[in-house]
Amino acid sequence: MNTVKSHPDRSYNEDNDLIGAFQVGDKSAFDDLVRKHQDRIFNLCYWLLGDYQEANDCAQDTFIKIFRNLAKFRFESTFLTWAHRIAVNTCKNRLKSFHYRFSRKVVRLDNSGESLDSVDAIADETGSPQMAHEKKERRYLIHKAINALPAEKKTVVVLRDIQGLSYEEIVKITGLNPGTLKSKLARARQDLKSKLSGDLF
Amino acid sequence: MECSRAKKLLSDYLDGILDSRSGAQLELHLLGCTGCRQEHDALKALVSELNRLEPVKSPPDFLDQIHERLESRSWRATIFKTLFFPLRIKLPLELAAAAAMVALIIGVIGVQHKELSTQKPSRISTMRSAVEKKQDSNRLPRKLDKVETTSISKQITAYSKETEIQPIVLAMVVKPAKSVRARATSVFQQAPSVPSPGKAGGVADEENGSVSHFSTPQRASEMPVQDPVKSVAPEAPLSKDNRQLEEKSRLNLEQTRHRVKKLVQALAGTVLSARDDQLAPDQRLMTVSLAAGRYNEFVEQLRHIAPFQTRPPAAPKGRTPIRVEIRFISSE
Repeated sequence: MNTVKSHPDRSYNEDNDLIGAFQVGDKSAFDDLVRKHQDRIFNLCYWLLGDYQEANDCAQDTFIKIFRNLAKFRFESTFLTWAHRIAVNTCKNRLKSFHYRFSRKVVRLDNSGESLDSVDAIADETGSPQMAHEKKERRYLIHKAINALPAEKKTVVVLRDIQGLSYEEIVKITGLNPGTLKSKLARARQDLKSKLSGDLF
Repeated sequence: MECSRAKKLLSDYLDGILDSRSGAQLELHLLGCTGCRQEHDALKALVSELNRLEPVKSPPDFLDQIHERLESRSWRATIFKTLFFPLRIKLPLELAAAAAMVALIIGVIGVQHKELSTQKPSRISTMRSAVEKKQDSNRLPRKLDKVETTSISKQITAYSKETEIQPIVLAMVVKPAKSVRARATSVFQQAPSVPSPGKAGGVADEENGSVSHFSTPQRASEMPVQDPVKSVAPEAPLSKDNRQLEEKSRLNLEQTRHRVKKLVQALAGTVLSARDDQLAPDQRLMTVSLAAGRYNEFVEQLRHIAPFQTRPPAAPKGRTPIRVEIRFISSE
């Protein structure tokens, strides 16, 4: 139900321009911001939570919070960094919430963890069916290994290696000091490597 | 450079954030150390694999879902604001649930406390009934061992001192019925032989208070003409007789009670309660309060009013006022 229609004459695409337009009353600028960044934010939530539906809820929550606070945005960081920070905090709260922990327990009872089918949402257009299956299996193993990491290590490795953000951006998002960030990232990578060793390396 | 240090620096080296001096040292180490080189390669492969992971795409209606939620939240927020904003109440569900739990626990504890406090008197009443039993056992077998009786009576007096509720029960026999019946029938039969029927009515009046059908002289004089058996035996006069007897019994009870009341007043006691005599005969009671010292005198005087069904209990010790319950038992 899209009630806010996109403005036809608008030519600006940059985040800051869109935010500026929103702040002066063009609410449709928000839709453009969502369209531009929804997949990245969704991907972040997916890797932090390890569940597609939870990721959907949290990504929506993130954009709803952005909508509420966009009028107060002061351009001190990029929009993407700001959106990442909101998403990371939303996911962190979700991981702590009773609802999330309860639903995880129920799923574990039924399924004892994530299944190979849960990675079906990711489109695969290249290679033979055999290759596709191997890729899917590998992705499943990575998914499992990342999910098994403690929250902070998971956050830094996802932000750095999956989302491809810079150290400065990660420092702004997580609030960690650069030294801590470096050591946490090194340890997270080590953990992942040892968890996945024997599978590929 | 040692291998442990080299492994620590690998992550920074891969990201290109290692300072030039440490970078050069690490590169030198990697050239000579196969283990660390393998480690470096494995880590590099992992990072590049993570970098190349295909992003998970959001559902196609993602934006629409956000709009739906924004709209539904806007009216919910208005309702919430109108409800709670003026009072500035923040009501998280967890807090509400916790408050509800606390209220429930307090309620349950309160109910339990009440139950406990109501259980106490019931325990006392069971004790009391046990003492009553002892009293009964004391009363019924007349020849009990003296020592035993005194010890039981001591216990009873001790208990009655403790509770100050236990009354002394006296059972008095009110026996007007038989004599009244005899008198009534005799009057009925003698009536014709007496020349003045008014006299017969007068006797009846004296004895019973009011016996209206006896006072009719003509009817009484007609009696000898009729069959005497018929006149006494039929159901109708008999039922009349019964009613008459009940009436007499009631009157006698009233008289007895009146006399007991007078006696109580004479002994400076008070009548606490008197049950309605409309009740069943075994429930006709009178409870009086009396000084313990005048109990013996009271019992002696009561003997003159009506006989006791069972031997009255011994006088209690002490000077505290005692309660005496008098049961009026019909001799029928």
